[in-house]
Amino acid sequence: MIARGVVTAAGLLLVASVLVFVLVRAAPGDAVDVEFGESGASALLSSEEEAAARAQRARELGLDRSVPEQYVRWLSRVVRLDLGISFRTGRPVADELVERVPASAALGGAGFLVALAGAWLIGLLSARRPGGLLDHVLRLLSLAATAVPTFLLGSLALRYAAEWIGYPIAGEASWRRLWLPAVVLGVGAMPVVARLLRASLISEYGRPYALAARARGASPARVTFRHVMRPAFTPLLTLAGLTLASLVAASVITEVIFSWPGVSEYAVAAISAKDYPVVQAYLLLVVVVVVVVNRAVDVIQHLLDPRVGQAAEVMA
Amino acid sequence: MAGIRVKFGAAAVVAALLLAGCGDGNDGSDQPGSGTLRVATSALAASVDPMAELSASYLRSVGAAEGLMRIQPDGTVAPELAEKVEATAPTVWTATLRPNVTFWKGGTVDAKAVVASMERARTENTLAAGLLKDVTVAATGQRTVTFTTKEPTYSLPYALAHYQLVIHNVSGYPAGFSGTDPATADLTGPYRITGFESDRQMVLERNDRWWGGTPGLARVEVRKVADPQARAQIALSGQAEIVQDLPTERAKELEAAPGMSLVAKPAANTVTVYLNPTSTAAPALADQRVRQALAWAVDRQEVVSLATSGLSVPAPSWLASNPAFPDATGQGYTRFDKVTAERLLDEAGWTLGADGKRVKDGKKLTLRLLTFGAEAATGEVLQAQWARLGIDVQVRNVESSLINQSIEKGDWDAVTQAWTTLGDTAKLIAAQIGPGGAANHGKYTDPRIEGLLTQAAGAAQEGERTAAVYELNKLMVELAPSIPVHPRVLATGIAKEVTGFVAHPLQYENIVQPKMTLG
Repeated sequence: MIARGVVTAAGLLLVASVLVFVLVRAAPGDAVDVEFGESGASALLSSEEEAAARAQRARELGLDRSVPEQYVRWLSRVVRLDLGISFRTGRPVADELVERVPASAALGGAGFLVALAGAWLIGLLSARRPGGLLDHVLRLLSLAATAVPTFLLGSLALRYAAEWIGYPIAGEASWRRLWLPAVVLGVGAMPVVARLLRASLISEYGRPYALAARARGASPARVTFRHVMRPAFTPLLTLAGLTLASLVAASVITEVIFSWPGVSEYAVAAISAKDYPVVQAYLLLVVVVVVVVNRAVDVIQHLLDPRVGQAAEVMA
Repeated sequence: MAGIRVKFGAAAVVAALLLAGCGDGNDGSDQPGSGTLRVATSALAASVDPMAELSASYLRSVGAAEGLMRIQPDGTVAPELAEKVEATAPTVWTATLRPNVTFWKGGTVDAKAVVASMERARTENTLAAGLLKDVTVAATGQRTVTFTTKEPTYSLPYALAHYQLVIHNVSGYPAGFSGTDPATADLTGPYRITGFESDRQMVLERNDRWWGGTPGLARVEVRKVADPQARAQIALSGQAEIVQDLPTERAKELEAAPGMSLVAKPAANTVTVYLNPTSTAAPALADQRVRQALAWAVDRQEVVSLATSGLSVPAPSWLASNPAFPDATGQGYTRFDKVTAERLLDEAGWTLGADGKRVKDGKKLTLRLLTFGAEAATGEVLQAQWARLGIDVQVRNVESSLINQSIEKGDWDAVTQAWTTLGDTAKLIAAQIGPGGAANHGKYTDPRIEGLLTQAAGAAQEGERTAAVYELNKLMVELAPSIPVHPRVLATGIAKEVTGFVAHPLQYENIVQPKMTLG
């Protein structure tokens, strides 16, 4: 199963690499256009001189080659873990990514924990009395959290946290700064997980083993935590994997709003500058994270419930 | 048991990531009154090498880099590292360097070092090559550098004041060096770079060897904050003493904030709507009267008020944003004149229909306007104003590269851009209206242009050159290849404890100023 998973993941990455490479170049203009547009050099050069200078810069950046040739050269480097050199800074992209990955991982991890903890609490409280007042209130709050865009929530949170408690808006990745973007990230992902957990818990409460436990005199808390919680969590594993992947996407906005020095903020600046090596490396990293997380979820599900693996084999 | 191990393992991984990703919480931002100036900015130098693309202006803005000359707030040019720069023959300029100027690491800034810096600039940077085109640079004494031009070039001091010709110690930048290692940087400015993280932050400390005396601050910390709303919040909460490029829509809130002031000097560039006379989608633009009508129908005061929260000023002509040519504010579309606009459209055959739309030969008067960045707001106000004239305008805010691509393909009607007006004015205005000019997108021609451009660049008397520039500016109003609207806004938040900050039309390269102190 692991070997098959590795082969599938490798195939996915190859397809993704082609898509990433083509999509990045599909946007109008390139790094040379950006550099010349921003520098104002064209006002001082004749059209021939400008064309020659642009051609020279394109040669330096390797953009004078055909796109397939650029792709083959890039891929041959990537398989050796050489992600190329940033057009803007002249530094190896791998080095720049490595510097930023810990901050992004910290934010993603903290956001994920916030989402799970919040969802657990909401799911638990909602499932205690389905249709009750608390359930309705929590559903409304969940809907509100889903409806508010991350950029708005982030901007408001930043505004009031800075005004009221002096939250440091700019700076390094620090504990003092982590909690707020993590909450914003987590709140966005929380409602879906909470709703699924609620449904899962309600379903489990109705199963014979839970009813039998109640009949034997077990308290509601004991039924929940001793008997129901674990099976109720199992369907959430897949969703948790997807949630982690969606957090990667949401972190783009969050990192920019909070000036969080992670890979997403780095990638946004690179996109504006058409810094292809950086954008390609970032997108590939995102694909790797999503693929790895989903594979890991499959494996964990298999470990927790061997019937999942057997069912997959039967289907195959 | 296995489940417990998985849970503990996951918790350990998350904890490790959190620990690895976070510092100790001491981000060094709590040092009020310590002589540390904190600056929040929208962009940072990509490299500590001023010849790397998109680096020199940022290095100059934070007080790290200096040139032989520098443009002053009134638009004139004054010596910086040079003691004086004078024309010693029609095609020769001689720069005499200040005595006792050194690079950060102690090397002397003598004529040889300046020549080496200029030559490296010419080789490494396209913009610098453009500035030094047809200019021979030679050391003719210990402190004397001569610049010999092919033809009389009266604007050379402006070229020497350009940020791309800042003086750097060439031996400090060997081939293959890392552009992000602050230890390699060797410049002359009052503040030397001691910390550099590309695209994130820069730390500078006082340069005790600075030729101008003791700089006013001990330390400068510059951080990039990409989100404009976050920058506004930093200004409001006093988390930086200088915050650059604030969003204009929050002007009132920022102006009312205690502890800071909002400085909004109109920039030396004019937001201009360029018009395509060969557009097949908007053939009306081929008619000069239609283009003039569009220009007269712009209520610039209203645009400034709505699109820039009153932080900019109307620009009746393209040159109006250049403080060195103050009479340009009296040229061109100095008033909002809807009556003239309507008359011109009527004369051009675009009559007003019952539905309030202008029509000619059964076709409506329409055009597509592409805007970029903050100019989206300007575009929307123009759309409303031109609609009152009976013109349908579609506005799209796009990336600048898409605008350039549309121009290259010829598939455009109108686009906004804001080219610099301050510097070598003859060259800059030639780019707007001259044959093959980089901003002459509509390829406009007129028999008067070439003669005036020659006079603007090469007339022996300064008065004649100035007159030619003004005449070209007037010609741009007459031909209406483009519609000037207003200078870009450079809104900077300055904390009350900062003294000595001077507003500058090139604010983006004049943020940290040597005499600035923290009170």
